[in-house]
Amino acid sequence: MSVAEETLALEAGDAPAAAARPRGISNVATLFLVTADFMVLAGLVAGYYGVRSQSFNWPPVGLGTYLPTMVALTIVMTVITVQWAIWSIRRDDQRTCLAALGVTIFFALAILNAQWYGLAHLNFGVGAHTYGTFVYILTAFHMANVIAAIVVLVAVLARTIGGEFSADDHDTLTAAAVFWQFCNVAGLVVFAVLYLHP
Amino acid sequence: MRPPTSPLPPRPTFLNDAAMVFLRTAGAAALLCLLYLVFGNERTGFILLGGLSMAAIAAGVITVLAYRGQLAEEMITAPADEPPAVRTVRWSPLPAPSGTPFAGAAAIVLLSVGALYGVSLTIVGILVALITVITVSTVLQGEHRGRTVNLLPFAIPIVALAVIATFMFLMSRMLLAVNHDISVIVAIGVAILILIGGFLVANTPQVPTRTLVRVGAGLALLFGAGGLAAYGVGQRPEERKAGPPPVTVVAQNISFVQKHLNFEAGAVTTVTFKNDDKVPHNMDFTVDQQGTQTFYKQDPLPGPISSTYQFTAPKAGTYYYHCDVHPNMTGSVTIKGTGGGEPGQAAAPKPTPASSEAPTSAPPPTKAPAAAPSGGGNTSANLDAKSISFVQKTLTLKADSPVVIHFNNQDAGIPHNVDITTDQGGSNTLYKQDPVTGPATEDYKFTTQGPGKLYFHCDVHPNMTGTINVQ
Amino acid sequence: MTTAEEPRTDSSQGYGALLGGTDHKSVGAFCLVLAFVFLLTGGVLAAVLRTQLAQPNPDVLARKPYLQLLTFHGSFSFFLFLLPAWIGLAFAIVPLQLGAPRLAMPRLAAMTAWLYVGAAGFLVATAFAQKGAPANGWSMDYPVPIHGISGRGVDLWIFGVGLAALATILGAVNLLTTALRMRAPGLTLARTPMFTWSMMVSSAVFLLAGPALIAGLIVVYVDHHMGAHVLRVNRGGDPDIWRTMFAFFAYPAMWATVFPALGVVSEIVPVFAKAPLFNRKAAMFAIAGAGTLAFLGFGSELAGDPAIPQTLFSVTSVLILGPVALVMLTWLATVALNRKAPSLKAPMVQALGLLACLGLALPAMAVMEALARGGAGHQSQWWVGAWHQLLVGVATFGILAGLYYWAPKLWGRHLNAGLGGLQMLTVVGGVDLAFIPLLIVGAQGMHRRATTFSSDSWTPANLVSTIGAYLLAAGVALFLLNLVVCVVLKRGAIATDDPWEGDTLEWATTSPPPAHNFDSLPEVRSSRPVHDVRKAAATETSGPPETSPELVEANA
Repeated sequence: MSVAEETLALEAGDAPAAAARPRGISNVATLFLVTADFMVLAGLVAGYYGVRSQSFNWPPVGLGTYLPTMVALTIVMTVITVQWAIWSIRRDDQRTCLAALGVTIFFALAILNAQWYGLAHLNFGVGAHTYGTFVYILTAFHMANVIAAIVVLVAVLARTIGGEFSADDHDTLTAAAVFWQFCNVAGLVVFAVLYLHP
Repeated sequence: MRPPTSPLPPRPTFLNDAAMVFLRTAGAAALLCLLYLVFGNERTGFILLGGLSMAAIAAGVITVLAYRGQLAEEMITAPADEPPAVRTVRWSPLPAPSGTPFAGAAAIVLLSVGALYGVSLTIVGILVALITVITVSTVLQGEHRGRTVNLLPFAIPIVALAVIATFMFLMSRMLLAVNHDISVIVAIGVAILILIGGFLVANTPQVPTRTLVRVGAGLALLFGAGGLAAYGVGQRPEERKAGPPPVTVVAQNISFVQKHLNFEAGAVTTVTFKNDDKVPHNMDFTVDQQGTQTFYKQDPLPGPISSTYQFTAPKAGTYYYHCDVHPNMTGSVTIKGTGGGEPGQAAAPKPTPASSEAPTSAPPPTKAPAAAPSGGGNTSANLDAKSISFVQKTLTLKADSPVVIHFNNQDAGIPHNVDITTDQGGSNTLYKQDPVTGPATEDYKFTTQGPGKLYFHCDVHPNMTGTINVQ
Repeated sequence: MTTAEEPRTDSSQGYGALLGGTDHKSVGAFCLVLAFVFLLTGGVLAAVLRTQLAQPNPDVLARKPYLQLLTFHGSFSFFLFLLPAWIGLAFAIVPLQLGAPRLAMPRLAAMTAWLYVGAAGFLVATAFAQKGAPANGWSMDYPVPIHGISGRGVDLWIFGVGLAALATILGAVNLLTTALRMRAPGLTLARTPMFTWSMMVSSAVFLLAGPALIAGLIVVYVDHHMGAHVLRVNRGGDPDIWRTMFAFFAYPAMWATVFPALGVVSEIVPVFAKAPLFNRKAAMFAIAGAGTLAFLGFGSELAGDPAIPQTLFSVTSVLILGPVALVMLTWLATVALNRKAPSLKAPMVQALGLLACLGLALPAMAVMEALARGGAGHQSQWWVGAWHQLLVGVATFGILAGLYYWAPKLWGRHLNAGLGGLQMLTVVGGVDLAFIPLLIVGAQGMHRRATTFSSDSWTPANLVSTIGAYLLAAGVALFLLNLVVCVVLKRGAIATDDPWEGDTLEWATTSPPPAHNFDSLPEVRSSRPVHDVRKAAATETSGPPETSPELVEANA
């Protein structure tokens, strides 16, 4: 038997672990997770259209679009700010990246705040009518995702403060951005379904 | 022996661009909207699900296409006559065992239990989840950099988060205090200012600490003062409607404990109705004392149970409520103040027993064919229960097709159901639903098999029976 | 070949690491233990249910307890046995087959295992809930539960099933990422071992179907716990919303538990026939195609719903049988086109048993999907018989066969071959006796969830089916006995590193493998890297190196 006894050239330098770890795991895994999350959203939206087709009088109550539109505008702004974080880290500009992440988190909290306020001031309960049920379900689904994304973004912000990411190595940052962009898409889908064309 | 130039060949990158993903997901969202526009009202949800499966296929095809090169490619081309080498490999160490996986699962379980058994467990779940996330992040960072990490980078963002959240709260108070249009302008203005500020900070090489402290202190003062002032002023009038505290009504011993209620006209009113009796009760709010002109009600439910009645109070005046099952359980409502429309305008849709035969029990148009197709039986039938007996003892239905029985339980306060069986003994159920307390209607949708006889009875009253001729 | 008998202990793993161990093999074993506990529970429940149906009009169980046990049987067997068993086996085997030291996300894998434990806790807790355990069937639609009438048990069931679905989705993400990112150099996707490939397809199915279940459970929770009426016919809702979402999950997911069994047999047959898998690429595409078709056929579980295009789903749900039959043909061709008879060792014996069950299951499925439309077939015992032939005779059998094949690798001990043969005969007999009579009474109109029957003409078939169920339970018990005696009590024969002369990379390391799996890796030039090395070693000792025709063929 021929056994070549070369030891693999994984130099015991500063970061042998990083050298041996295959790249892109967090990206691919996040992509799959986002796919699954998107399917949950799709299922809920399908359920919404399922009850919608049962009713002649839809929506049974009119909802103001002032607050939701503000939320949608904020969402559009964060689409840019989180991408700004990626662009700046690609240029190795950690300072701008930090600023962009901070602004994104600020807007994320603003979205959460506005949606919570909106839900708290609805003049019907979860069980009042099927439209109301889905207003609660879809908004809460988006809010849950935003909360999870804020946690992820704060963790990534901490690691950026620690100076971990660079132009060559920012997989985790990209993964967090992908997840945040999914939240944005979910928010816009919910906005379109519930308010734009109910 | 062929020395390997590189131990691990470069791996192809796979869609690691956030913008790319965003575009694709947006495409899917656009597809959803398009589907909706095309199909309108016809059970679109289900067609959507079908469409989504197509999307799943498309995604699969895209993935395969992206990897097509790799499918065909030989990553290491070695002459076949040379025996394959066996190389020693050295891996980075496995992640050390830790409690984080268990803690993560425990957090999810706690959140689930909290959704059933109360908020306190949810809070514990959130705390466990936060600790887990912080620990995992620290560990991941340590593994990424090859050494242990101190927790300072985590302390800074958490403090920052607290500052941002405070700022947010004060800001929202201010926005709520001022006029609708002004608040829009203020909000957008502040957002743009933040963007510009962030950009400036990021692009200034060195900001003196003193300047930062001054600006920070100034902002804190401004927002603190503004926020507190706004809090003192209170919300603008139209936001205050959510206002009046919820009212609780308890039904005990076939009687309402609270016999008189006071609401504010035009306000969103919440009544928590607690039924402590074993028998079903509800609250039927009416305009007249006789209890015929309902403006809001819900179905009777057997207790002990608590349900929430929420509606917009009509204009000022005196109104009445009673229990549909026990008409001698009554009470009155006084509504004061200005505002509020005619009774029933903003109320939730409700089935009223008086109209149950006519419009509400009509099947949704897409659910059941209106007329019977060729052949003997119908695809729908009416079945009424009255005085602990079925009014129709024999029904005729079409064979081998989906059918609907419109069941109308007219016995107030008495639960009935229809248990459709294939044998006369009533043990081999083809289809049934849970008993419903009258007066109420239910649609029984099921599928008949070949021609023959089916039998039905009420599970609560086994002597209520009948037969179905399936033709 | 070296036989590494030196003890390999890794201080970072072991019993203490159970809480958060990152060794994929122990995490996989953890899932398998949980799964086998519920295989046993589900089997015992099935035997009790069949006892009720052995005679006309017995009084073993009243209607409600029967339906409660039926719900337990379905929920346990699918969500707590089939799903964790496949995810666990894949956790243990896939990194070894890929030449990787670990899973892509080892901590997430451990969390997946604990989520299954949480799911089990919820589902078992339904038994002690106020107003009793749910009696609405494993699909929770017999009838769809109603707020204020069905009790806490339904709420607990929702979370139990939801956690199991979440765990399966996370496991699928982990497996897919591992398979895409952590393959050894030279191991292209086309050379991926068949089991890993089938697990990739199944993972993709779980990833896309599982969320539909979670969305449906959210709706049921809001309806049942919070008093909404999205699923109430007369209140503006429609119970078919939940039924559709459940079918969109259940139909693909049931098929996805069958694919890995095909993968396992596609591993076993070439090794024991000593030939490459015939038309390997076609088999790979067939499994992937079946995974796609599984999504197209979901409406077949909704037969009778007028909003569903019945003919379309008849066609798609019959079409999926084609690729499955094709995979079966590649096994037969692998054996038939090879002049030598295959060696009938323990795993091959199990594979033959599986083949017998699959051969009978496919026609039963075809008849149901093609002819028995309009709800007649899908609401009768035929549905039970046909699906159980697949889920027991193929999916469960595949797990048993896989363990006969890989137990020597994972734990260094062979399962007993004699006991294995006896168990194979018992299980095949059990599957045939238990489920073929159900086709007969199903065709005569016995309802799928009938709790009793009065017709005397159905008595013989039902009696035979009950005997078959007992036999099946005995077969499963024999297997678990074998596993406990040989592996847990370490009475089995000690395994060498490569006891079967395998083809794929897991046979290139020691039995059991060290925590990091591989000290050395052979160069991968074909789908049979270990076979290539063995062949090269043989030619080196026997004579001058010459171009091996088989190697060229494999490389082409």
